[in-house]
Amino acid sequence: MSSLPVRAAVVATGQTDHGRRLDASMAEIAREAIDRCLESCGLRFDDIDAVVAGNMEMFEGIYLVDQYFVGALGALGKPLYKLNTGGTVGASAALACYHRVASCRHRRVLGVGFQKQSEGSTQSAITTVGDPVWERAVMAGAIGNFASMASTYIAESGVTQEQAAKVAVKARRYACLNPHAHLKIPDITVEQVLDSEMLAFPIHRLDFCPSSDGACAIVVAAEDLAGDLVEHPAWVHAVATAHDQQYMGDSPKRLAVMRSLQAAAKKAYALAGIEHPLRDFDVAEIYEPASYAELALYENLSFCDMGDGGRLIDEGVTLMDGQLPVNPSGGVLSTNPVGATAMIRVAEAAMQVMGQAGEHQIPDVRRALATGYGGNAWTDIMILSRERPRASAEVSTG
Amino acid sequence: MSSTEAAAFNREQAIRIEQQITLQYRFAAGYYATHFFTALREEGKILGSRDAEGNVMVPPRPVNGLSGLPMDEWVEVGPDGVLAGCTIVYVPFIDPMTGVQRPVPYGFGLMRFTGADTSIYHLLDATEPEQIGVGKRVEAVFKPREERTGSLADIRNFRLLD
Amino acid sequence: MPGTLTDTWIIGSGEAPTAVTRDDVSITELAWEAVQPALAQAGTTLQQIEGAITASQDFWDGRTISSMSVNEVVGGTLGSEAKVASDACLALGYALSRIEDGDQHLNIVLAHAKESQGDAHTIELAAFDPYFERPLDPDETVVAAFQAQLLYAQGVFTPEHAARVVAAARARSTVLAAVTPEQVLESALTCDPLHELDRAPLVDAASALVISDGDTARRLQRTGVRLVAAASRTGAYWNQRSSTLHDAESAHAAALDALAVAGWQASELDAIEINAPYAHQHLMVGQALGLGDGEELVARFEGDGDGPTLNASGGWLAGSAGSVAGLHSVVAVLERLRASGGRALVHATSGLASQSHHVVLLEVTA
Repeated sequence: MSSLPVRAAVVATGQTDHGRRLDASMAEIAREAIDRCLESCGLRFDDIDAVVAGNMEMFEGIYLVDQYFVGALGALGKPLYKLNTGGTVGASAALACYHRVASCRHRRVLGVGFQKQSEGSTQSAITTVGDPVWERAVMAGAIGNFASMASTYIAESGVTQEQAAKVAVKARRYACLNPHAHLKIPDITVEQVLDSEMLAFPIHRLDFCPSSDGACAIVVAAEDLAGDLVEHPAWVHAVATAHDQQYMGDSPKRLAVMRSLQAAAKKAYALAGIEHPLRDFDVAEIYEPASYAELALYENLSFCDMGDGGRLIDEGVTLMDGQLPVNPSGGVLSTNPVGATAMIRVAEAAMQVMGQAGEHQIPDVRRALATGYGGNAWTDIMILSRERPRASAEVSTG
Repeated sequence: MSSTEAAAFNREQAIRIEQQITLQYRFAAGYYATHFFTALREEGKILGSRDAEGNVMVPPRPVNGLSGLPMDEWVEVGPDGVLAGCTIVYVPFIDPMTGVQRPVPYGFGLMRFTGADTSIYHLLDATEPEQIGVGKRVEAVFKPREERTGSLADIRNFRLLD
Repeated sequence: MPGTLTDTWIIGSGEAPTAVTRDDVSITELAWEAVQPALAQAGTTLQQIEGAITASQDFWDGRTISSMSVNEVVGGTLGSEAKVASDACLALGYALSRIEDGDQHLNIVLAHAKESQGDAHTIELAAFDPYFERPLDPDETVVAAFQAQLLYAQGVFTPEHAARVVAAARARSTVLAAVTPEQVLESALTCDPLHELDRAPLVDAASALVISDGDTARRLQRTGVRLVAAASRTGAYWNQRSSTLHDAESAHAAALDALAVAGWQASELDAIEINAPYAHQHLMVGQALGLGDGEELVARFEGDGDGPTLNASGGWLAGSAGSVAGLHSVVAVLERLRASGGRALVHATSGLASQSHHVVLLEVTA
């Protein structure tokens, strides 16, 4: 028992070229990401002990989707875990990969998140997130939900449409440095964001994430294998998950005060020894479905005081050359295939630690933060580091 | 497929198969919702569930996940309240109950009934952002008794009191 | 680690009353009916629960993220809940790893399904290949029928054997009426050679366990049931194994894996539960697990013969639902072995034509 948890690291990632992929089926986009992932660490399907898959079935309308795609997922004859947790599913799957290795059950686990939103009715699928008796009849899609949440956040923090627009600009410009990103708008300006179609007040079209086709794959490996698979493994230092209550109006201040994110961050930061996130992290890949959400995430992740998120974007703290670069990949605002999106955050954070982020690499990354968001303010967190965690006997449990 | 092949793929020739699946469900509202919607239909009252700590939740439910306590008391709340979140929607959405697009713009948001600790989503009688704001007072507009069936739609929408 | 004793314990269990229709409760309330007795038996409260692994299906619930409905009653509020879209045995395996690696200390495992609320044919249709198969409007019974045909063609099992498995299960049921093998064979043909009564009826069900690490179990003085191992195997999608649908090799592989992890021999098992939606699948799996052929195996389902008791609870065929069945068996096995103690293997299948097989091993100390 005292030899558990086994220390584990992300040793490889792969992503599709996200976008509107009429050229590929779901199986093909899953394989595109998986092939790139396995190629990067030199593993083959035979080397993989278990597969964890994330996809939200209602989007493409495929029941038992993991079973249908078992071949493409490389899971034939293996344990196949199908997770289904909404927007967080990609991160939930990454966490499951970690737990399978950390518990010494498996040694090399493949995680895959995939979604082809062009193949289904995104709005129908999102409508069914709402409770059928209490919420569905009045819902105004994800946009209505986020716009309402943004109003609560604005009332608390006083952030302006311009500050939110700066987040949108940052994301789409950085996406141009990311060969996989969906929405790339190199010359985007704050004015363009504010001039874009108002979807639901105050959310403009360019304040909001796209609907993408894409897949992401990661390999998590046990400590004795990790160093042979990649030069700088991205060691998992902490994982945490927290959800909120059942209905969308239960959390009093919704986006302004994200109870679940605060709870998960508290646990994860304690486990990883994070005391000053702005200083202790070198990069963060956080799940921001809308521009306002990113500012609220800064506050709830303790990058700054509550209410102060706007200042961070104004002062450039979260730009690639700032104190804590946030979403150099372009984030969710640039790429959002729901089943993959949260795994892309983990993958991008891992790429930064492994030194594999190419044009959007932040120099000298030691510690990276990845978060997932979905459902009714659900949260997953994973903290990755270039340093191996201390052995379990020395770590105090949260 | 390599990215070169993908780039060369002739999207004009891409085959896409259209398919529609119609999924029908009969959702049992259950004890708490039945109690709530019966009171709404019969008496035009809004009820919340309360736990031993005095937390009041709408929608009512068997357990308050935050306190971990059962919610076995009923308490009347509203019908007035405040906006906890609000927006004006400009993008047409299909009303899932009618299959018809809602005419835009319309108000939408979270209403917290007086006496309740949680809010519910509903429609707002507003079309301009200037009319709405977090903290503004609202009131449920009930359909007449003969039109009420025991569902969320028994409340037509919420009107602003200020 | 293989051969190392786990320190994860099942300290409470509970079930909602199962029925063909539970129109009186929402999914949240159904789940709470299962969770409450489990918490009481464990001697703990919802406030103490750190999180949960749940099992349910979006398509059956008519809801994207079907666990949203149960999240609040399983300790998911500010706690760590994750949902698997599979049988609860898979969920139990994942839950085991989160306690073994020290991340979780006190969790709930919950499975639920309200099969009365949706349209089974259309839901199952959605599992089929959209390009080649859906236009033919199939459902699960069609591929199960292909599977049964192949099985019976081997000459070891017959439709009469399957009918006897149903009768044996129904005799043990507290939810479904008893039937004779003749009644099964006389019931309407759904898809040759399957009869209506060959399939477990659709029901509304929820089962819950409270599981914990060793320190918590010892503190609560609930060290009667150790969760020893869990394993899964997924085979090919049905049309890629259309000539070997009757082969339950994945069940065999999953069982071997779990036994190896536990360091047990199959001969050390005192109770075995096999869960599948169709009667003939019980025969396939029983054979694959080395429990006998033909008459010998059927006799064991009927309660005769030597070796570990087989499906003493009646299993899925006696009244349970997809996603829940494996957990229902676990709850039943815990009850049954409470006085005598013993080692148990619980199996459940998921997917079209039993594509995936899941196994859980438990050790009950009297």
